[in-house]
Formats: sequence, C-alpha cells, structure tokens
Amino acid sequence: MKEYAFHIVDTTLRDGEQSPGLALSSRDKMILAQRLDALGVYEIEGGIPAMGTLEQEAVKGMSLLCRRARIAAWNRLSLQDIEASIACSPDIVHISVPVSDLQIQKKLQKDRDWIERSVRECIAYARERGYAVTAGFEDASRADMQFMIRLGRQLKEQGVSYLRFADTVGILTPQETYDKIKTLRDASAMDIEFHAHNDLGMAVANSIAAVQAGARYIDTTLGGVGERAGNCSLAEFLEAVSLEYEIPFRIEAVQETAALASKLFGLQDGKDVSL
Amino acid sequence: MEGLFTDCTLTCLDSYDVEPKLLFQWLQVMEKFPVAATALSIPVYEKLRSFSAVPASRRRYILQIDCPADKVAYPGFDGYLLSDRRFLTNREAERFCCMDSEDQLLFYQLRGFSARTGISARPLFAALLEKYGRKVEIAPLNAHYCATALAVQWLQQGGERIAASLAGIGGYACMEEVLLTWYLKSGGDFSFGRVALPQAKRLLEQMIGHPLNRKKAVLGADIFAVESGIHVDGLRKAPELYEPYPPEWVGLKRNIVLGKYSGRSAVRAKAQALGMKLENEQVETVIRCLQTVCAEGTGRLTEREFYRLIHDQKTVS
Repeated sequence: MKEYAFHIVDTTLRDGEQSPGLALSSRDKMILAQRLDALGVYEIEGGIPAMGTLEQEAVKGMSLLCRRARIAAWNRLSLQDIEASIACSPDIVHISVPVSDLQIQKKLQKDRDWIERSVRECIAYARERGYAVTAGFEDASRADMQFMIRLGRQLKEQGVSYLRFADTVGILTPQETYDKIKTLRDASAMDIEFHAHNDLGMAVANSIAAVQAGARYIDTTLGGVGERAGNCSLAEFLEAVSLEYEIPFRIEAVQETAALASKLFGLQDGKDVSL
Repeated sequence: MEGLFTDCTLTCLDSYDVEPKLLFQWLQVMEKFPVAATALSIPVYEKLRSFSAVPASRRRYILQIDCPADKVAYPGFDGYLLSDRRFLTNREAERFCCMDSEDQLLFYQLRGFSARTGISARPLFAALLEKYGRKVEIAPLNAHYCATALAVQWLQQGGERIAASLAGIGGYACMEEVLLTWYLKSGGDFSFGRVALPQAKRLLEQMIGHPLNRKKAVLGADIFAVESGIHVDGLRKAPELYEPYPPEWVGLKRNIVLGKYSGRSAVRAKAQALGMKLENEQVETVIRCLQTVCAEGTGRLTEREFYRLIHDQKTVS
C-alpha cells in the first residue's frame, strides 16, 4: 500500500461541534462519521463520553458503524472521564493535557509537577486496560518547549501512539509552527499530530508547515467549523497541500460531505466558514 | 522595521453597484488604518469622482491603470500601477510597476504566489528581496487559502510592502489578518482596530451588498462567542486562556451561548450576565434541557428560551 506523508484526524464531531450554537443529534453524528469513514479519514474524534449518555451512545454507535477509521474519545486529564470513554470501547483514548503555564496555573490552579503526575496516572490507567492512547498538548503554542519535550519523552516511555500539538488559540505563523513541531518531534521522538485554529487566517498554511516539519497527523473539520474563527477546513487543506504532496482523497467527495455537514448543522449556506 | 501596507479593496469592486458616497466614506475610514497607500481602479475612481474629490490624506493614492495614456487622463495621483506584461517571476507572479507622474519608479508589485503555501516560499522570497531590495511589494493571491500566511512570511523575512484587501475581497490576502498578526508579533499598539475595523467591515458589507461570514477571522460577529463549559469556565478565570487577543481590539465582545457543550459554570455565567442568580436545582434543569433539546438539533438555547425555562420553573415550584 502507498505510504502518504500524513493522515487526517477529523474533529468535526468534537471540536467542530463545540462551535457555539452548533449541535448534532446522535443519529446525525453517526451519519457524518460513516461519511468520513467512507472518505478515507484515518481517525475520527467522535466526542466526549464524559458529557453524558447521549454522547456515549453516539461514540459507541460510531465504533460499530465505521469500518476503517479509528474512533477516538476525548478526555480531560481525569480518571472519571477516561472511565466514561472506556465504557464506549473506542479505538483510541485521547487525553487532553494543558501544557502552557497560563493554562496550568490560571485554569487548573496546579503546577507542572501535578501535570506530569496526572499524565502518568491517566495514561497508565488506559494503557493497562489495553487501549491505544493519544495525548493532546493543549495551548502548546504558548507553552515552554523544554517542559513539552520532557512530557513528550514520558509519553514515549508509556507507549502513547502520537502527540497532538494544539495551537489552541490560533496564534502561530507557518514559520513558528514549523520550528516548534520540528524541535518537539526531534527531541521527544514522538509522532506529532497538529491541531490548528484559524484566528489569524492561517490554519491551512500552518497545517502544511506542520507536515513539512514532519507531523504525520493533521486535524481538520468539515467546512472548517470550530470555535471562534474555526479549525482547519479539510477540503481547503487538501486543495492546498496537494500542491506539494500526494493526497489519498477526492476533493469533490470531501466537498459533498462538507455540504452535508453544513446542512445537518443547520447553517444557511453551504459555504466554508473561512470564506 | 515597519510594514508598508497598501489597501487594494477599492480595486476589487468594479463588478459591484456601489453608492459613490460609500467609496468616499471608505477613504475616510482608511485614514484610521496603519496603511501607507490606498489603491483604486479607474471605474471606482470615476464613480467616486461623481460624488466628491478624494479626501486629503497622509496616505498615497495609487491608481491602477490599463495603459500609460491613463496617467495623462487621470492626473493628480501619487502613483500609477501598470502591469508589466513582459515579465513573470518564474510564472509565480505577475509584475506591476508603480510609477509617479514623472515616470519615476516607486516600487514593483509582484502579484500571485498562490502555488506557494507559506514556508515553501522562503527561498523565493529571499531571492526577491535580494534582487529588488526595498522596492518591491507583494500581493499574494488566495487561490489556495495561504495568502495571509504568505504575506506574514514575507514580513518575517524582512519584506516591507504588502498589498491586501479587507476580508480578502478580490482574492487577495485579508488585510485585517495580516495587520493583526503583524501587531501581535511585534507588540505594536492595535488600538485603531476598536473603532476602525467595525466601521470598515460595515462599509464593506454595504458596498458588496451582503454580510460577511459570522465566523470570519478577526471580523466575524460570532468569533468571540463561547459555549463549551471548559472554555466558559476558563474565560471566567482568565480571558486570555481561550482568546488569541482581547475582543476589544477588533471592536467585538465576548458572549456566552448556551448549548449542549455548556456545563454548570457556563449556565451560571450566562445567568449572571443576564442579571439572574440561579439555585442549584434550576441549573440542573437547564443542563438537562441543553443535553436533550439542543442535542436533537436546535443547536443553541436562545436568551428568550433561557428566561422562559427559568421562569416556568419558578411558577411550578
């Protein structure tokens, strides 16, 4: 089989749906998951089981319906969250780890030691139960690189599959993205997933810079839906990245799926949010 | 180092039926922007002239012309932008010459680069800076959604001149995104944005006859709305946790929207914003409603529905 430079992790059903005012029924989530699966998306971030029974049903349903795509369940750094996820038997348990001092101190009111301990404990919990784990560095673009490298090495030891670098507030430029991803990847030896936001209109270009720096997983949403100015649009990313890399997708099929998502979300026009 | 920005919004409106007065107002609003020049097309200039002369300005006015004779027909501009059709930079961009009325070259404009995605333009940009020095402006085009990134890449490599349009109309880079990025990275004072950006946005919407997307970066009406509990909670503790820059910079406000991702703290924060204080039981009712009603397709709970939900509950209890 042909080896492509990157895989798509679609987060329409988690970060996309988190866009204010957007919501999908469990049925619609499963419809979209099936369509994403048919497109050839590598991983689908299906939802947050800790939110409640409706979300759990949706994640369970997706795991049953999708043939190729791996279904990931999103978790805070909490054993209770992870228990709720495991109850849905996802393919991947994704654990979000706030890494900037801003997030650690002001949001969690904890310190870096607490983060390291909790990460170790949460990952061990999921790994011991046989689950593939990915970890997401939240607000990585504003975090201390040395701290991220240390955590990254710890993840490697614990057998975490890949490490998500999230530009949570969308403030990176392509050059900064490239430098940070390359440094983190080289020093931690972890495979990197990149998660962009479009606050400065550079989500697509930053995601391409991440691929150029060696990131093997790129996060997207259909139509670029997501918080604030949105996430990286799958169709736009593929159109642009195809200038430099081969892509295993038909862009027309992606656009059709994006139009369906837009309809299910109840957006009036089928246009990409970034237009 | 300072970026020298050209606003080319008024070269992109030829196919719109724009009221001449709005064009005049545009030039007035642009006075508040940190732009060095405003470019106009001949049809737009003709329309504007039917209303008024161009207002006096510290900025340069540049007219985009089709042939050298236009310079004589439209005197009084600081610069004239004319395509240099013989010249393409490796087929990457079209070259324009910007001359003054005495035919002295002010700078070259290179328009295109849409086959580049950001850092892949680095060697090319370095070569251009070497070749042209400071006498070159780039106008990246957005065919592959990377125009803003290209403009930023240019500035980060020491380029100075950028041509862009508001909201990227006409297929250029989005001026507001390039400016904001530049100010964020260089720590400059963006205070002009508070008043000037909403005014410019409103004018552009009037000129093109439809509203901009509510999620458009920097300008969209909904970009500072939050719903998810984790974010609302974070924003209450420290707004910078989930905001790339303060909403006031661009004349917007943060706003809590209640939906299926809202948790208890979001419900309390929303109530507080509306001047209400809720009992624990009331919060639970709202949460239940959000998880079921919103999850079945309506998306969000409007303020009115929120009021009614609380009120009905009071009547029952």
